[in-house]
Amino acid sequence: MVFLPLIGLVLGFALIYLANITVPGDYASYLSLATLAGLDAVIGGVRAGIEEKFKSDIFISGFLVNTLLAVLLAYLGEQVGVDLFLAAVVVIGGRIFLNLSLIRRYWLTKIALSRKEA
Amino acid sequence: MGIKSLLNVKSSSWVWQVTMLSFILGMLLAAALKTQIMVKTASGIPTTRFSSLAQVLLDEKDRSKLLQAEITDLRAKLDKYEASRGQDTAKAKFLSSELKDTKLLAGLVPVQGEGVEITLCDVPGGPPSGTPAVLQAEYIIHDIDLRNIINELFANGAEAVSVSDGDTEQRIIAVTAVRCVGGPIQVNRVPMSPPFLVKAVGPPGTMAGGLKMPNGLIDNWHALPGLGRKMVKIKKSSQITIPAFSGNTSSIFLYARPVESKGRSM
Repeated sequence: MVFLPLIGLVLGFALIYLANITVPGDYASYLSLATLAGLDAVIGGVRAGIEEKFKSDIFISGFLVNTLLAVLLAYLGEQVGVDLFLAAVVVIGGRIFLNLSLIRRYWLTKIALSRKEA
Repeated sequence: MGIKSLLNVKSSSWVWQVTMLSFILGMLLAAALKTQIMVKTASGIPTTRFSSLAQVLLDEKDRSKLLQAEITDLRAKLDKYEASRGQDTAKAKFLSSELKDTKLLAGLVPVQGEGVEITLCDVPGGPPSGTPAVLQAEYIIHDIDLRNIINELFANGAEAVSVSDGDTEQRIIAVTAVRCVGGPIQVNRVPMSPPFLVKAVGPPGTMAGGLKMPNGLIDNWHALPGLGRKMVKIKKSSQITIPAFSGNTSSIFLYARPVESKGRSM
């Protein structure tokens, strides 16, 4: 059950990686940023799910909007000569680390509880 | 809510949703990875990180230095080759011009230029009746006449001489013999019969003057007692073509060998 998201990740990865699909090199940085935003959304969803605060509309809109917004901001930054790309990376990266640490804490708590019960 | 219920994720719909978006995330990840790999492969730069790029720059600088050294080395080599090629060319030019001169001198190349054409023929109708027997021979062309003509031409600056009789044309070369063998006259061992056309490339005025000078060859013919008159016509021409020696040159020198002298250059 817990591994379903991982399986989905691997399946999606394999689908594109094995398919003959390439993106022009100019968009490489934007694609990376979108990936980062997507990762943030998914990890945020996992955290919300664990906290039982998960809401579908927030999750899915968060995924789409954050991804697009990150790319748009980076594009805008490039146009006006400000490295907004870095701002997106810092913010999203920070959130990913925060969420991951929270997930890790919940997990450790769960393991500790199950040990106590056993 | 208690911790226990919090971690109970059975049949939660969020897992499926997260899985779905994870699937999309995986696709994004793969696309990003592939693109990055493509960019790195295309640019030849293995990374985009600054510290790594600095290392790449240093490596490239080293390589550039090495290549510069190689360029200098190759330029020096090229200069050397060009210099030696120039020497070779000069040598080859010298040899080929030397060969050309030698062939010209040997009569192995056709030549053209201004000169004179001399027509020699027996007196038509033969000697008039009543000519003393001892003088009858003066009315025909002999090998001695041809030899004298050729000699006179060379003496007056002829550079190339040929004798023709309408059937064959023989270039006069170093080993040419002009002699009478029975009736016909042989030039280069090829029998010929009059009328002869002697062609010479050289100074036309000098050659013609040499032939016609008082008490000279032709003058003597005409001054012969008893009306000895061999038919001689001299024509100056601005364009005379003389063929190359047509005989077999390989059988000419059977005895003569060049003397090898020490310190002979070239």
